[in-house]
Amino acid sequence: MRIFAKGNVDVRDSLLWSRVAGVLEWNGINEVLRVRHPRVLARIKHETCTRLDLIPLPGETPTRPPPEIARRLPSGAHPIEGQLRTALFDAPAEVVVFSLQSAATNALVRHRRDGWLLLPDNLDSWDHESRRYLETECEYAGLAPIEGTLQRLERLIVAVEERLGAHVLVYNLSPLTPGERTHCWLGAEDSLDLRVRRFNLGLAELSARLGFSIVDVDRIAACAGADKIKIDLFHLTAEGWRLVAEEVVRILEERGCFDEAVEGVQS
Amino acid sequence: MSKLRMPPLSAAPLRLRRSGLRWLRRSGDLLAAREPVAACYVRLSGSCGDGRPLPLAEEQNDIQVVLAPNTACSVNYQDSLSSGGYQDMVEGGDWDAGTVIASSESAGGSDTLLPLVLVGRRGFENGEGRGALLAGWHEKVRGSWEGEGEGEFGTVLALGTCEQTGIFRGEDMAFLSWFACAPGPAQIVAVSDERCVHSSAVLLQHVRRTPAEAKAITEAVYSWIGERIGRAEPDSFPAFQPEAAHGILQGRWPIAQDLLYALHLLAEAVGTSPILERSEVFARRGIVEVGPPNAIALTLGSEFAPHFRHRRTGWILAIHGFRFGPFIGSGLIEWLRRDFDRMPRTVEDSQRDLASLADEVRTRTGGSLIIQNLIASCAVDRVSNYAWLGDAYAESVLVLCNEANLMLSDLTRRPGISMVDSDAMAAELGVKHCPDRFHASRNLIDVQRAEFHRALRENKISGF
Repeated sequence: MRIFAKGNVDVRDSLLWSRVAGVLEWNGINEVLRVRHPRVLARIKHETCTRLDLIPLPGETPTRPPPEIARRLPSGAHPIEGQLRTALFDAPAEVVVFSLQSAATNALVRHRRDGWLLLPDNLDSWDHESRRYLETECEYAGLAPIEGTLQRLERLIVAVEERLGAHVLVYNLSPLTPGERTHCWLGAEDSLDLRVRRFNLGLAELSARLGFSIVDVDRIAACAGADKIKIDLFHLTAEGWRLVAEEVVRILEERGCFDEAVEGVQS
Repeated sequence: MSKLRMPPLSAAPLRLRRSGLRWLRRSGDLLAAREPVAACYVRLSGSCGDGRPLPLAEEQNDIQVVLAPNTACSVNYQDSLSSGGYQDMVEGGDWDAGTVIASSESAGGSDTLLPLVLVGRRGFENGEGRGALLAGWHEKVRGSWEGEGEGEFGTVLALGTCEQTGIFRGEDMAFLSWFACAPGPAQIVAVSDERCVHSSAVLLQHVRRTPAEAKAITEAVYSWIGERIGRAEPDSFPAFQPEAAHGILQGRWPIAQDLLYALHLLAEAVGTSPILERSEVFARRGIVEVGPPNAIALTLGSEFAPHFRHRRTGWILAIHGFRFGPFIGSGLIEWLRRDFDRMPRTVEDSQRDLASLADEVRTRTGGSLIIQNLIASCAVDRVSNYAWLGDAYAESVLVLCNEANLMLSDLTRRPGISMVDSDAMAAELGVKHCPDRFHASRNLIDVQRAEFHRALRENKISGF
C-alpha cells in the first residue's frame, strides 16, 4: 500500500517512526499492519509540510526564494528549496495523508520586495547574519487564515481524488497542552488552543461535505488521557503514536482499503 | 492531649436548640483538618419581638451543624453526648458553646471546633426526610462557614445540572469538600434541576419576570390543573382496581404526580430567582444577612435541554429529556404538546441569552457567571468520516459540543463571564472518567472542583 504522507511530526512519528534521543520508541504503522494485515506492507513516502494552505495544486508554481538565498539561509527540518514544492502528484498512491498541524501553528515570513514566503524553521539556531537578512529583507506574514486554509484544503483533496484516486485522511490536532488551564480568554483571541479547536471544527464540516476521513487525534488523546500520552502540543508518547497508527489502520479498514490492496496483490 | 469544645453559635435574641450529636467518625480515628467529626440538627425558637419573621424561616425544618477540628488530629469522644436514635435528629437542649465533646491529640491548633452550617429548603415542606447530612428532597440547599476568616461572606450559587452536584455538593451531598479547602467566611448555595433546568433562557426570563407575568402563568397552571381534576372518574384510581388487591404495584394515583409537578414548576417560576435571593447565615456575632450570590455556576449542558414556550404567556421551561416518561406523567406531556411550542435552541441563541444574563446579573447584583463547558469527546462516539452523518451532521452531539465550547470561549472575553474547561480536564485525565459526557468519576470531579475554586479565587470571591 503506497501512502503519501504530507505533514510534520504527527504524521511522521505515527506512520514512520518516533525516535527520541536516538532511541527508536515507535516503529510506525507497519507494526500495526504486521499483526492485523500481515499480507499488507505500507510503503510510505513522507514529505514535510511548510503549511497546508501552500501545498501547490497541479499546474501551480508558487514564487519561491531564489536558489542562492535558499542555500545561504539555515533550513532546519524544512529545507528552503523544497518548502513550496511537492511530489504529491508525481507518483501513484492509494492513500494520501495530510495534517492540520502546519496550518494551525506555522507562522511564515514574506520577502518585502518579491513576495515569496518562507518558514524560518528552528530560528533560535540561526546565525547573526541570517537573522539580519530576515529582519531587513522580510516581514512577518503570520499564521494561515482558517477559512482560507480550509477552502484551499478542499481544492487539494478534490485534486488528489481526481488525479490519484487515493483515499484522503487528514489528522486533526489535540488543542491541549498538558497542565495549561484557561478560564478567561480575554486578550487571547489568537490563542493556539482556540485556533486548533476552530480548525478541528472546520475540518469536520469539510469532511461532512467531501467525505474524506479525519484521524481524530483530539479524540484519541482525550480517550487515552492527554496527561498520559501527550508531551506537549505536538508530541505524543510512543503509546500515543501507536494509538494514532491504529486509528489510521482502522479508518483504512473502514474504507475498504485492505480489500483493495489484497485484490491488487492477487491480480 | 487537648479538649475539643462546641463552638460559639448564636441566634440571639432567639434561642438556639440542638439535637444530640451524631458521630461521623469512630472514636480514635485520625482526622484531617476540617474533616467532620460530628453533626446535629438545630432549630431556632422564640420570637424576634418586633414582628419580624423568624430568621431562616423557610429552612427551619432542616438546619444542621457539622463540627470539625481546625487541624489534623486523632479524636476520642464522649459516648454520652450521643444518645443515638431519634434524639440525634430532634432538638432537645440549648446550644452549649464551650462544652467539651472530645479529646484530641494534635500538633496544635484551636480547641474550639469549626462549625459548618447546612440548611435545606424543602421542595415539599411536609416531606420529612431527616437522617444523613442534608437528607430529603430540597429545592435549595446551602452550606455556610465562617471558618477562622474575617469579613464578608462570599456566596456561590450552583445552578447547573447533575454534573455540578458532585462538584459543589460532593459525594457527601453536604459541601464537605469545599468546607475543607475554602477558608471562609463562605457560602455555597445549590438549587436542584429536578423541576426546571436552569438554562440562560429560563434564568433570564425569571429575573425579568413581572407580577403581571407571574399572574398569567399562575392562571395558566390553575386552568390546566382544573381540567385535570375535572376529568377524574371513579375508575381513574388504580388503588381500587382489582389488580391492586392482588398486591400488584398500582396503588398510586398518577394524576397527582402530574399536578404536583405542575405546581412545582409554578412555585419556581413565581418565586424569587435564586440569582437575586439574599440569605441568612450564622456568624460568630449572630445571624447575619448576606446579599445575592457573588458568583453563579452554570453549565452549558443546561442550554441544550429540551425547551418549551407556553403559547399564551410566553413562559419558558427547560426539562431534561430523560425525565419524560418515568418521571413526568403522560398528562403533563400532553399539556406540553397542547399548550406549549418546542423551542429549538441553537448555539447562537445560547450565546445571546448567556451574554444578556451576564449583563443583567452584573447590573442587578454585581455577580458574575462561571460556566462549565461541555465534554465533547466520548469513547463511544467515534466519527472519522462526517459525510456519513448526512443531514444529521449539524445536529450531531460532537459538533454541537465543539461549537458551543468555542462560543463559550468567545463569551469569556465579555465582563462577568468566565469558564471552567471541563472538556480539557476530561481529555487530560481520559474520557473514561466521564464516559457519557456528564457523569464524572471522583478524580475528574475533584479536578473540576479545584478549577472552580481557582476561578473563584481569581474572581476575588471573598472567603474562597
